[in-house]
Amino acid sequence: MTVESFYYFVLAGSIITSAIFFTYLIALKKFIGQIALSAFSANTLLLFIYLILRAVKGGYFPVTNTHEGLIFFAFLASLMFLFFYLKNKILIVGVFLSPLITILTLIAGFIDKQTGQILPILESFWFPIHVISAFIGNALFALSFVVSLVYLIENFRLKKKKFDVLGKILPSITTLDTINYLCLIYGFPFLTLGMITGAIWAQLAIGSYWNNDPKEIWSLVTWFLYAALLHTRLINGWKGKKIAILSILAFLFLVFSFIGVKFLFKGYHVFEQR
Amino acid sequence: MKICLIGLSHKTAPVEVREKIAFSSPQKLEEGLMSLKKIDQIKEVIILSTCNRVEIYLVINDSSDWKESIIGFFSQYQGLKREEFEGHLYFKEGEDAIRHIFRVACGLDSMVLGEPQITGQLKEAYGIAAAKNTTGFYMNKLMHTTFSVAKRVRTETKIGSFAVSISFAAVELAKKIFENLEGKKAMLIGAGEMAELAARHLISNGVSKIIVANRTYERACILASDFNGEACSFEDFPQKLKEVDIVISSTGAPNFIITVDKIKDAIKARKNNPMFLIDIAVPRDIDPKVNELDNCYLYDIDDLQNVVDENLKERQKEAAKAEDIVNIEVMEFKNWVKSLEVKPVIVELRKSVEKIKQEELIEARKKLAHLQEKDFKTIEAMLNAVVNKILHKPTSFLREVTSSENNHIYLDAVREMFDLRKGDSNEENN
Repeated sequence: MTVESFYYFVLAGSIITSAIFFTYLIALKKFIGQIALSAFSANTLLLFIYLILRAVKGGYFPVTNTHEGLIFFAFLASLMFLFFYLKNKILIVGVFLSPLITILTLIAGFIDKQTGQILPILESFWFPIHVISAFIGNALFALSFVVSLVYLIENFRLKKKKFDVLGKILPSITTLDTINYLCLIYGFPFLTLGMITGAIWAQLAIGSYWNNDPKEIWSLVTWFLYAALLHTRLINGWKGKKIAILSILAFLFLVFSFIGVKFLFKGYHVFEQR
Repeated sequence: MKICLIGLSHKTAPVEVREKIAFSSPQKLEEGLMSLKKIDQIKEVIILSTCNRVEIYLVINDSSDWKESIIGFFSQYQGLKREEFEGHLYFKEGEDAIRHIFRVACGLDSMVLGEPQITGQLKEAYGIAAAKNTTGFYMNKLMHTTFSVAKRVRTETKIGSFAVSISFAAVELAKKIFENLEGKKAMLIGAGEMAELAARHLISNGVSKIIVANRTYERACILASDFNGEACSFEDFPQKLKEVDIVISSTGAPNFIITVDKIKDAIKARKNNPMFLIDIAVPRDIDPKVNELDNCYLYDIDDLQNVVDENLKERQKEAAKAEDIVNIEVMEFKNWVKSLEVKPVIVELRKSVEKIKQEELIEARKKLAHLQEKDFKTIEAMLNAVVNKILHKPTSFLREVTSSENNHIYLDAVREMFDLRKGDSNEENN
């Protein structure tokens, strides 16, 4: 078995996890929730193993192309969820996060999975720092996106006075708002750090901080969006629904700057061999 | 030995009858137990007396006229004419009685479906009876099974986990908004029984401060001191709105006293921290458009009633699951009772055959005096083997039919065939 084919275990794992979470949402049985959580943890481990295998085979930090980037993204987002689960015991977020993980993994499958084709530009001290901080930011924003979705659902139910068994497992809007806040307030410095280290790295490697690369431009747009979001929250005191909607919008921009840019534009952030 | 019960409840008797039949004090209940125990055919007895039901659980050894003796007891003990209560009574025996007791303990027969207090009340009733020594082998087993059934229903179904009163529904909703109510502040505008009850529930769930506003300031002060809170004149309450997380309004005002603008200002001053507004006044006190504001959640009396109705429906769904559990447990208890009937028959059967064997062995010894001791040992071993082999099949057959519907037919047949002592050898199990 090649390292690349281990990908299919990861994909199967994430699909199974999503299916169990979906069953949990329908049946609302506690034990199914526990199974779903175990499956999710196991899948997180699979993602980690896959990254390690690639790192060992390629001999580099395994975020050298978009395939690895997506896997790394999925892994970090899973890890963040498990971290928040330990603190808040809010399982319902997993119902929405696991399909997101599946989609990320699935998209990764359509991209060249080969290892060992590292571009010389990536062999830099700044490379791991740049990607790790940017990806931790991304993972936290992904969680913020999912938590905001749950917030909007719960807010809608409270406003429309809908009551059924689903209400029993939905967390309070205050809790959701707080988690979203934490994701944003911790995610933003990581995103910022990722952009600064990227600029330094670009200066060292190419000789210019800013190269009008599409990814650079879109990332900056995303950064401004999150900055504006935090500003309205911290300075204008926005809470709840508005913040949730903005978090969702900002994340859609983030996803576009991460994946969409790669397919639509050409730039030096596309590291696969052409 | 038979388990049976007699009783009346909110389903069969109005409160005027229930209060006459009820055992008003523990002393009265104890005396009742003692005088019932004196009745000859009653072996074990428990009295359950709550505001919604009075029931007597009995183990009797003679089922003739037991109903009459209890009716007689009631009319004599409580000084009532039998026409006053007789029509409201229900009687149950055997399986029906067991099922009824299980259902009562699980709250399936309660006025508020699934309410948990009844289990505790039954435990108390059992405690008193046990202390007065009016329970025994059957009742102890029945009660322990009952409590484990009640526990099973609580843990395996969600029958108790939906708020079914307006004020509990309000607390539940508040938790959906604020997660927990520790340190939250609430305001009571106007006073009324329901508003006060809701406020008490909020306090017991952690709300730290209550502000009371009323048209008559004195009334506000009285209520406020009752809640350890703060009184506020009716004119000042809009300024205080920004300080509170929960508002309960129940004034007799003819039009909206809380307008969208007032809440808009309050929310702004609160930096968009959410507010939960409960309007239990009719006509309503709070403009329904308030619910459209972000971070505001407004519930009126109908909304809360809907929550309660929804929750009741959920409880009914859970109750169906609980009934299944009860049915299974009734079957198991019935099997246990039946196994008590089978065991002594098997013992008797073995005893009688053993007796025949011993007699024949003694006879044989006399006739075969020339044989040596070790030859007798062989003969005895052979006899044992024959006896065991012959009895093996009927014994295992009897064990098998223990749980069948008409095991007494087989038991009677075996008794007839082997001429076994008929009678209640269950006493031996005591």
